[in-house]
Amino acid sequence: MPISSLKRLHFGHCVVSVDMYEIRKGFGEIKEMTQAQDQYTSIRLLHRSYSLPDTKTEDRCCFFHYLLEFYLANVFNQCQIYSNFHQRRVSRIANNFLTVKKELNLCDTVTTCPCGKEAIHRYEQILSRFERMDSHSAALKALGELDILLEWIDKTE
Amino acid sequence: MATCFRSFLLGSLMPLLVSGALLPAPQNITILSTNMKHFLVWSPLTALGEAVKYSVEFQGEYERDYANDSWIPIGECTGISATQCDITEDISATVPYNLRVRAALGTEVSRWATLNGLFNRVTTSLIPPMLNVMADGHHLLVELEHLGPAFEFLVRYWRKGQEDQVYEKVVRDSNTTVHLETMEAGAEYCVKAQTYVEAINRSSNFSQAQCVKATESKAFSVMFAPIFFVAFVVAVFILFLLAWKTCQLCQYSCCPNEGLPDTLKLTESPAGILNYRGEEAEKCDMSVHVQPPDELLRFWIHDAL
Repeated sequence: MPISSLKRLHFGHCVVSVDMYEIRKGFGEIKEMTQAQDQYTSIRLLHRSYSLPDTKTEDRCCFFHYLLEFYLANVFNQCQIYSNFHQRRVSRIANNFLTVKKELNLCDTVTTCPCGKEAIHRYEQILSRFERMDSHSAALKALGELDILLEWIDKTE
Repeated sequence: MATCFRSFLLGSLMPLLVSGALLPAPQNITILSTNMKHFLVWSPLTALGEAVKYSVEFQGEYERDYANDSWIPIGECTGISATQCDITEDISATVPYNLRVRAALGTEVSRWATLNGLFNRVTTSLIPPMLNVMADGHHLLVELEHLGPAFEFLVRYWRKGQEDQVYEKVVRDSNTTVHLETMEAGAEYCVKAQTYVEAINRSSNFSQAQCVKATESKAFSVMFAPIFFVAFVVAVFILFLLAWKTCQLCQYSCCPNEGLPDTLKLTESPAGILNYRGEEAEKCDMSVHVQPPDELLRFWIHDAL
């Protein structure tokens, strides 16, 4: 067992817990299959030049909030057309993302998660790349890039 | 007989089913959830026997809010005769889940019967852990029940009679035996534990305390005294033998009986060596003189007189 399966992210006085164990377990079982089906290997949505740990501390909460909402609203629901096995793993990840988003919502989002220019700019970069692709391929790519997002979460204080 | 009865029942029910009356839906759907293991159970449609197959689907808050209220079938619980389903793998987040079951007989299916209220794994019953406390010589050891990766244990232990001094240890991997303390001889120590599940931030109650007594040091020495004695005697004997053998060897290398030749004893100037006439003849130059027998006889007579 990992030392602690919960990764705690501090955004000012607000602390949210991400169950990395459950998310990794879910993603670990579909990662290969998802990444193998991605045909646009030259495109990267979660580019390292606008990664979460490199975001200014005051913009980090908002950017993270955007990323969660992006995956919940645009990615996971496009990935439910696969096998029952795949569908259940995506559900595991999605419901755990939702838990984090709910925790973040419980914090006073106005004071905890103010959205500065940088956060908005970074999110728009990801979204514009995503929208340039067809929705199915884009969702598949974003799902396959979940390991990048998990690494970002790991590296964020 | 049973087969006859079933075919009679099927025979009498079939027209009803065909005529539009649906197969009855499963009833009394509940969740049994203990130590983060969750099972959905329902009452069987007994009148129809084992021919009835059940299927289970779940819906997390995500599916309700973001995926058009969709339901996901649980593959292992699709078309089963059993009236329970292990849903642990799918209740993987701390959000409210909904579950539903339906029965099928041939091509007929019942309507879905849904759980009465949503289920959140935060409500699971956490049972105090089973533990095995052992004294291995003077070591206080505890073996904890393995409950899966989500569980941590808080172990409390104290010396009996000193309840005000309680020690704590957090154990994350329950696969191994944990060493808690080196006990004082003859003292009794007690241990209790509770489980903690970080994902739901909840703990179980503490288990009943279990106590063990450390081995008496007297008993320890009595048991090992003969072994120590024998080892001591053997060691002394070996040392004596070694010393004797070493002396024997050193006798010839360090203190030989043969004296040094006189030349080697000189320490004065080299001129001294030239003038020295101490050893006119080398020992090795000494020659053997063979005496003729008549001369030998003369010496002998001379000596005798």
